[in-house]
Amino acid sequence: MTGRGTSGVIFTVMIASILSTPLTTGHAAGPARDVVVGNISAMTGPTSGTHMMCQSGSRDYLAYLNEEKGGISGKDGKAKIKYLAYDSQYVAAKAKDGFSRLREQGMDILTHCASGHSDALMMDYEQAKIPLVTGSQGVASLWSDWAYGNYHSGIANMIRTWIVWQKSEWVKAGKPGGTLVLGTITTDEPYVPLALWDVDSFVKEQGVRLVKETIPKGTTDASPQLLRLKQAGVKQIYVLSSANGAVVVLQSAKSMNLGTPLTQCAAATLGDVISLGGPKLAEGYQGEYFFEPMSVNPKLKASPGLALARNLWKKNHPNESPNDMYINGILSGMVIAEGVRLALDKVPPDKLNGETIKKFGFDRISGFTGMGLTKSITYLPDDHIGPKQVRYWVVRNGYVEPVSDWMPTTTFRIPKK
Amino acid sequence: MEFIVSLIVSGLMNGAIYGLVALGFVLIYKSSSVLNFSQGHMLLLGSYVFWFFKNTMGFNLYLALLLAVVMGFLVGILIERLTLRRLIGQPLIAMITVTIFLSLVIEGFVSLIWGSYPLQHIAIFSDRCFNIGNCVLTAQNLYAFGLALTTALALVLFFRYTNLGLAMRGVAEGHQTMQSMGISVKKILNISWGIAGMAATIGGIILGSTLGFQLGLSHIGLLAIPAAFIGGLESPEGAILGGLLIGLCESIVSGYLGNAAGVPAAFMILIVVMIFKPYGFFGLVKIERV
Amino acid sequence: MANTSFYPPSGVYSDQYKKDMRIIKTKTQLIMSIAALIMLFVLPKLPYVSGYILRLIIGAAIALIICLGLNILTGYCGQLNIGQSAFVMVGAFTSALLNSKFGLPFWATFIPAGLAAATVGVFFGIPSVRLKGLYLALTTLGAQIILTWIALFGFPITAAGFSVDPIKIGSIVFNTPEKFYYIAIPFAIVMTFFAKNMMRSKPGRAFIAVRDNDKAAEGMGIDIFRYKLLAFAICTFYAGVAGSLLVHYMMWAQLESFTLQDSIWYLVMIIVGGFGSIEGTIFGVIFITVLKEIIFVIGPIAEANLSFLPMGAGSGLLLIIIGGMAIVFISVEPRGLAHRWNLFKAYYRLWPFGY
Repeated sequence: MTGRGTSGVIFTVMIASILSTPLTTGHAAGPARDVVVGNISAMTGPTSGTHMMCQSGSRDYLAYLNEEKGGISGKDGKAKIKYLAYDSQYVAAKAKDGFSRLREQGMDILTHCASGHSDALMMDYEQAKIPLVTGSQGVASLWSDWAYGNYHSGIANMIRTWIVWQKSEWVKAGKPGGTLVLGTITTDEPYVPLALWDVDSFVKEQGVRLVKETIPKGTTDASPQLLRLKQAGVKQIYVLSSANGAVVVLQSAKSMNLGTPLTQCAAATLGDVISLGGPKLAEGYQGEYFFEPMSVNPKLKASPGLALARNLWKKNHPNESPNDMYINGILSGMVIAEGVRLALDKVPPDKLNGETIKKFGFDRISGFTGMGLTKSITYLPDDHIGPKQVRYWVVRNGYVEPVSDWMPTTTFRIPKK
Repeated sequence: MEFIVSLIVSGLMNGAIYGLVALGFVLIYKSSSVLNFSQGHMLLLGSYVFWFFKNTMGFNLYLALLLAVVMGFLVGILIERLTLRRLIGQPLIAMITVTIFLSLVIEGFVSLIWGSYPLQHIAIFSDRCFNIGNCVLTAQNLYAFGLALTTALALVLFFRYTNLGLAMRGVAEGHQTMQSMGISVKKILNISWGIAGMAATIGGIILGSTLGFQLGLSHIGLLAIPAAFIGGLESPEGAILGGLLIGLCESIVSGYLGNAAGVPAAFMILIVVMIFKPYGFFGLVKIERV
Repeated sequence: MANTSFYPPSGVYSDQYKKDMRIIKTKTQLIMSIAALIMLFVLPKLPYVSGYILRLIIGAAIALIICLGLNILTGYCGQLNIGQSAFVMVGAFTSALLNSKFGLPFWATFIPAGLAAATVGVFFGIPSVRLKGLYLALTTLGAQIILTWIALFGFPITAAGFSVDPIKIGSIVFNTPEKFYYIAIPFAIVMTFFAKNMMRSKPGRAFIAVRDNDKAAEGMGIDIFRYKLLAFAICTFYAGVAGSLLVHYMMWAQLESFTLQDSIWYLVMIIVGGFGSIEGTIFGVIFITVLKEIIFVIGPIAEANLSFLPMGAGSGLLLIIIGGMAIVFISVEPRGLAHRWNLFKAYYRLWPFGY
C-alpha cells in the first residue's frame, strides 16, 4: 500500500505542476505601438546550432537599435521592436503552431533562417498578410510575394555561379586542356537534389563537363569518390554539404594529397569548417559568401557593418568564438529595420502592420548594403531573392580572405509548380 | 579496379567504428537484456568529456584520454544505478523507453554545459598516411581499426575465460538464478554498463577527431544497431564482424549506386540475413519452451 | 498484461449476454459519454480556447489515430514497431500526390492512402514469420530508413515539400484550426471506436494470445502468422489515414515531418499511456503532447533568460528536466497511465474496502 501511495503522490504532483504551467502567455502588445518581430527556429535538435546563431544575430541587432537609438526613426515617427521567438524543433507542424501563437501575440513581421520553414509556413504568412524576412529561402517561397530573402541568391544558383566563375577563370588562363572538367561531391542531404536541379542542361549550355559524386552522410572517408574525381581529370571540386561532410572530404583529400582545389557551397560556412576541422586542415579551402563573414582576417579592413557585428558579438557572447551565421541573422535584422524605417517615412507608427511595412517598406528596398556587409540587396516586384552578388574567399591561417571580387550571380529559379 | 579496392578499404575503416559502438550495445544487452538506445549519446558525452579534459583543462593527450575513459566508466555506472536499477524485473519495453528518455537527458546535459554549437577542433592523430597504390590509410583509420579489433578480442576472451565474464553471461540469462547462486547482480550490472560506457567513450574520441565534436555524433548509434543485430546481440565478435559488414555494404553500394543508397541497402541486407538467421550470425538461439 | 481490474460499481450486473457485451454498461456511463461528446463538440466555441489550443488538440487527435494503430500492433499483438512514422508518411504522400497530380479531394484519397500504407506495412510485416521481439523491431527500423530514402530520392518534390488542398465539404473549406477541429475529432472518435471494438472481439483476443505466448496460441489453433500480418495491416492502415489527415491539415506535404524521432515519440506515447489499452493510448497522447508543449513554450524563455550560458543551454536544461521527469515516471509506473487509472477506479469503487 505504501508503494502505491508514494507513487500516487508523486504522480499527482507531476500532473499538477504540468497543468499549472500557463499555456497561453502573452497577449496583445501594450499601449505604445511596438513592431512585433517573430522568430521561429529550431532551438533544439541537430540544426539548432545554426538556427540559434541566426536568431541571436537578428535579436541582438534589433535590441541594439532599441537601446542605442531608441528604436527605428522615420519621417513620421519612431517605433521600437519587440522580439519574440518560438522553437519549431525543425518540424513543420510545430512551426505552424508557433506561427499561430505569434499571430495571437500581434506579430507583424516573421523571420527565421530555415528553408523548410519558409516553404511550410508560406500559406500561413500569405494568408495572414505578414511579410517574412528570411536568412534562407526555400523553393516555393522564392515565388512568394510575401517572402524576402537576405542570405543567398537561390539554392540552385550557387553551383551555377561557381561554374560561371570557374569558366571565366579558365578562359582568362587561356583555356588550358581544351574542355573544362569540373567536379562536385555531395552528401545525401535533402536540399542536394534542389541545389543540383537541372544542372546538366546548364552545364551543357556552358560547354563544360561536370562529374558528380556522392558520399553517405555518416561516413568518415571520402577517398574512393575523390579518387574517381581525380581520375576523371577534374580541375576544381565543389563541395555541396554541411560542415561535417566538408571536414571529411578535406581530410580524405589531404591524406590522398589530392591537390585539386575545393570550394564550399554556402550551405555551410567556411567559419564552421575551420572551427570543426581545425585551421590546419582548412588551409587553402575556398568558399562563397554573400556577405562579409565574421571569419574575415582581422587585419583586413572591415566594413562598418562587420565592425558593428564584432562589437555586438563581444557584448552578447563574450565567451564564445565568433560565428558566420551570426551575420546572416544581423542582416535579417538590418533588412527588417530598413523596411520599418522606409515604412515610417510614409505612415505613422500606429498604422504600422504587416501589410503597410511590406508595401511601404520592404517593397521599396533597393541597393541596401547593410552598412557594407553585403554588396547590394534589392527587391523587385517579381524578385525578392535579395543579394544578387557573391564573393569567393579562401582560408589562410585560420581566417578567410577574399580570392575574388564581388560578382553577379546567375538567376535561375526552380520552376513554379 | 582501384575504385573497388578503395571502397573496400574505406568501408572496412568505417565499419570498425560501427563495430566499436555495436560492441557497447552487445555488452549491455548481454548482461542486462536491455537495448540501449542512448548508446550514441553516451558516445557523444564521452567525446565531449575528452574535449573538456584536453581543450579546456589543457591536459596532455594521454592524460586526457585516460581521464575520459575513466569518466566514461563512471558515467556508465551512474546511469545504471540511477535509472535502470529500479526497473529490474519490469517489462523490457519500459527499460527501452527509459534509455530513450535518457538520450534526451544526455543531449540536454551536453547542450547545457557546452552549448549546441560544434566545438573547436582537436587534432589527435598524426597526419601520417600509408599508401597502398592509390589507396590511403590514415593514422586515424588504422587506430580505429586496431582498437576495434583489440577491444573485441579482449572482450571475447574476457567473456569466455574469466569468472567475471562468466558471471556477466549468467546475469543475462536470468537475474534471479544468479542471485540464488550468490553472485551480486548489482555489481555485475554496474561493471557491464561501466565497460560499455568506456567503449562508447573510446568510439566517441575517435569519431570526434574525424567528424568534429558536435551533437551529430550521436547519430552513429543508428547504423551501429544493424551491426549489432547482424552479428547477434550476444556476441562481441559478432558485433565487430557485423560492423565491418555494414561498413563494407554501405561503402560499396553508395559507391556504385550513388545517392547514399548504402544506408537503406545495409538495412535491406540486414532484413534478408535475419530471415535466414533470425538471431544473427553468432547470436544465441532462444529455445522456447511452452 | 491482463486488464488490471474491472470492478463494476456495486449493484451493476448483466442478466443477458448481450448486455454483458456492451461497452457502456450503466446509465451513468451513458450519460457521461454523451456529456463528453457534447463537450468535445462545443469546445471551440468556449472563451479562452484560442486557435492555438485547438491546434494542439488537432495534433493530439491525429497522433491518437497513429498511436491507436501502434498500440494494436505493439501493445495488443506484441510486435514492436519502431517505424510507424514511415507508414504515416506513405499514407500522407499517397494522399498528397493524388491530390497534387490528379486533383482528387481528401474524401477520395484517405482510404487509398490507408490501403497503400497497409500494403507496405504488410510487406514489412512478412519477416515476422521468422523474427521475434527486438529482431522484428529492427525490420521496422529498416522500414523507416528505406521508405524515407525512397521518398527522398524517388520523388524530388517530396524533399522540397509541396502544397496540398484543404479539405472541402460542399462549400465549406476546412483551412483553419477552428474548422478542421470538426474533421479531426470525429475521425479520432470513429477510429477509437473501431479500435476498441476490434480489440474486444476475435482478432483482439487472438492478438493478445499471440503476444502473451505464441506457441500456446498456435497450439490452440490460432494462425499466428496470419494474425500478425493482420495486426500490421490494421496498424499501418491507421497510420495511413492519419497521414492523409495530417497533410490536409497542414496543407503541406514535406519529408521532414516524418522522422525516426517521431516514430520513437509515438512509441513513447503508448508506453507512457499503457500497453494494450485503448484508454491508455488517449492518456499517453495527452501526456506527451503536454510534455512537448512545455518544451515548446518554456524553451525560448529559458534561452533568452539564460543567455550567459552558451547557446542552446536553456533548451538543454529543459530537456534534462523533461527527460528526468519522464524517467522518474516510468520507473514509478512502468505499466503506464492506464494502469494507474484502473487502480484509481478500483480504489474509489471499492472504498472503504482494500480489495
